[in-house]
Amino acid sequence: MKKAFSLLELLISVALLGLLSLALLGLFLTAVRLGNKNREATRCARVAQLLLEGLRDPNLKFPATEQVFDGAIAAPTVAGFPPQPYPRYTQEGQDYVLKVHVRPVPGEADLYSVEVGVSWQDGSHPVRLESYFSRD
Amino acid sequence: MKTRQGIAFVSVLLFSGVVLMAAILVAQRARTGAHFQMEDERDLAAFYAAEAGIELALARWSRDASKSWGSSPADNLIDHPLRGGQGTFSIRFSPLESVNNFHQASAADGPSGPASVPPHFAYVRVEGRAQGRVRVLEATVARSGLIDDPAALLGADRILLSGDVALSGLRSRHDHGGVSADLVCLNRQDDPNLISWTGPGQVNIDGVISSNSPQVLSISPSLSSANVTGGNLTAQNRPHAERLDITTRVNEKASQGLPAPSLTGTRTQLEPGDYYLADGLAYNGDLVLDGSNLYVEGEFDLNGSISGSGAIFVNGNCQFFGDSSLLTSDSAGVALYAEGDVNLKGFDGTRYLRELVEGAGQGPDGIAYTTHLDNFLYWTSQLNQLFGPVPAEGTDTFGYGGSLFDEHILALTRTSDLSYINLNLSHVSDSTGSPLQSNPDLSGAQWKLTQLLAAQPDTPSTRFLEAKFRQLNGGDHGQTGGADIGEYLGAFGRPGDGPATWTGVETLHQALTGQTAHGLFRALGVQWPQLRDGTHSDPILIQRRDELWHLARNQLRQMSLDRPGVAYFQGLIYSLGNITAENDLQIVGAVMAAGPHSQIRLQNGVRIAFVPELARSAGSSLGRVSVRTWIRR
Repeated sequence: MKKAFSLLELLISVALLGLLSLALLGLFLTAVRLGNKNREATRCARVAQLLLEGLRDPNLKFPATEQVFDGAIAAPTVAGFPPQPYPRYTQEGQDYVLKVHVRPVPGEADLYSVEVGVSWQDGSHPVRLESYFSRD
Repeated sequence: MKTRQGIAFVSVLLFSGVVLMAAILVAQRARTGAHFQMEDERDLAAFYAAEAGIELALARWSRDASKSWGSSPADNLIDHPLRGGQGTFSIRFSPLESVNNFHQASAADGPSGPASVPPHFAYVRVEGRAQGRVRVLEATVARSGLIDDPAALLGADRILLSGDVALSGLRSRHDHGGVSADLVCLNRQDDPNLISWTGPGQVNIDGVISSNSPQVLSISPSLSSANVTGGNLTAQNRPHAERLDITTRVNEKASQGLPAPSLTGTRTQLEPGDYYLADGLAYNGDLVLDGSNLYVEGEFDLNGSISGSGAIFVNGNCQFFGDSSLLTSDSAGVALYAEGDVNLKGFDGTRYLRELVEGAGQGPDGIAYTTHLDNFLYWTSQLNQLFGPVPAEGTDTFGYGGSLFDEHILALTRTSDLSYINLNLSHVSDSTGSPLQSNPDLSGAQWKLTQLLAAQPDTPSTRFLEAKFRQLNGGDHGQTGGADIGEYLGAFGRPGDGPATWTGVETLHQALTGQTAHGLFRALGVQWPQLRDGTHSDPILIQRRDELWHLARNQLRQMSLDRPGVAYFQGLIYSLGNITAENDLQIVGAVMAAGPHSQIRLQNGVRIAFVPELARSAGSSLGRVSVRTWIRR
């Protein structure tokens, strides 16, 4: 005579499967979130890079004094500075907000420090890059 | 009998194990991705930190005329923090890292090996650091002008060529490997003949002619593949040329209290630095730029040569009557940036001499130099009229009634013509109209003016004029004075030797050997019919009759002091107005008419030898130091 699954065995198995599924689901979700964060951080870095490369335009005039251009409040540009993609960049439905901090480098005539910060609109996934640019 | 008790539990465990492994793999991958993403971000930050170091080096060298930074290890920057704290960079000066070779005329040792840093270059190696990541950038840098992308000949509107025109390209003045000398017209209108050439003469373009116009005939059919090596291209999409805001640059200098250059005498050298002229410039003399930049408000009018290394900004029109010396240095060149029209013409020797004699007073003979010049100009103009085109009505001093140029000149052998002309020719060399004097102090205007020129500082203009006078003195056999133009037209024989000792044939042979052209015209005139018909007894003279003909014609042409011979300009000519160049000009560098309606006219013997690097570096005392080659990036 065959013995069927005992009720107890079935209950334990279902409970175990449930617990494991919950744990694994959490793990999966964490992994997916981490992957998304990585992707977004990479995108933010690329957007920051895009703006920094745009600053190489030799015809672009830099502000003579320290200024912060906050894309979150769409601070207006001054004589075309900062260039595109400031103040915002959209890709695949996601808005990226740019913040540009420009200031002369002390003791170095015609040299400017530019810090570019890129994040989501809620401030998450921030990336900051900085370089110098020389101008007449 | 087998029991199946526990199989569900085991199955769940197995299934869970598989799913767990998959989950771990996914999590691991995500974690690795996060790691690489962080590394990538830090790497990018380190890269931009290194870039900041390069920019700092460029800025320091650009603003420092002496380019001395980096001459010793004391200038090293170690872990120099960025202003915003997003990284650091290091620059160390040593033959294994960064090398400042701006001041050396020879190559220096560098990281790439012995003599790897070219003269007047620097080698920069920057280590950028950010959160533990390191990126290294290496580049050679050098000074440059303001135009990064010159073309041999670039016009925003029409380009009109006439007479002999030649464009060729050289890699450098010492490397005659060819580069394409392109002629570019940016006009997009659907019009014919936007680029055209009309004779007489020849046109040779050693490059491509390109037009932005869709009209096939926008390039004149006279510019065919026979004289354009690279062919013709229409409907191109070349973007507009770099447009410099010249007026703003000049205006900015107005308020900086810059010195005004003192332009006196026949030669002015501007020491390194910036200069400003508020009311234009009209100067009869030679201008030498020595790493200097001249800003001119208004018109710029120079009758003399321009040479050296530097830049001139003019917010009005610009005229060059003089020539520019060809220089031996590749790094030297003049950049002319004009808001208005640029006209480059031959040397106006008459105007130059007028300025000179007005300040010279009297000569040793007690006669004012102005009188000598007046006499000389009057009689040479009469001769030019006689031998030139048909004279204007009422100006035919000799009463000949027409042009004697070309073959008619040989009719001068008629005794009546010769005696009349010779009578008048004596005036050319003697202010008093008296016969020629053997004593230099008493001899004519031509000699007096030669003496006056010899007393001036040695410049291209004085050399040019002295050479002209020497050519006019071609018959004097080394005597110091008294020779005159009339000798070319005079009887056979050598002056000072008494009766004529040469035959007509001997005279022509002497002229061909370059010994003297004395008596050339009469000898040629007597024998021309036989030379022309081939019945002359001397086969060499028959064979070389064209040479003799050109020799005679050139002797006549030398009588004009205003003919430039060959004038040079080395560097970049850039205008937002029109550019006209004419009369045997050679430009080594590039010509750009970049304004929206700028036209270019080249006429009567203009040759352009396009040297891209020279055009880029022209006016480099003004341009920034920039990266020439990335070695590692």
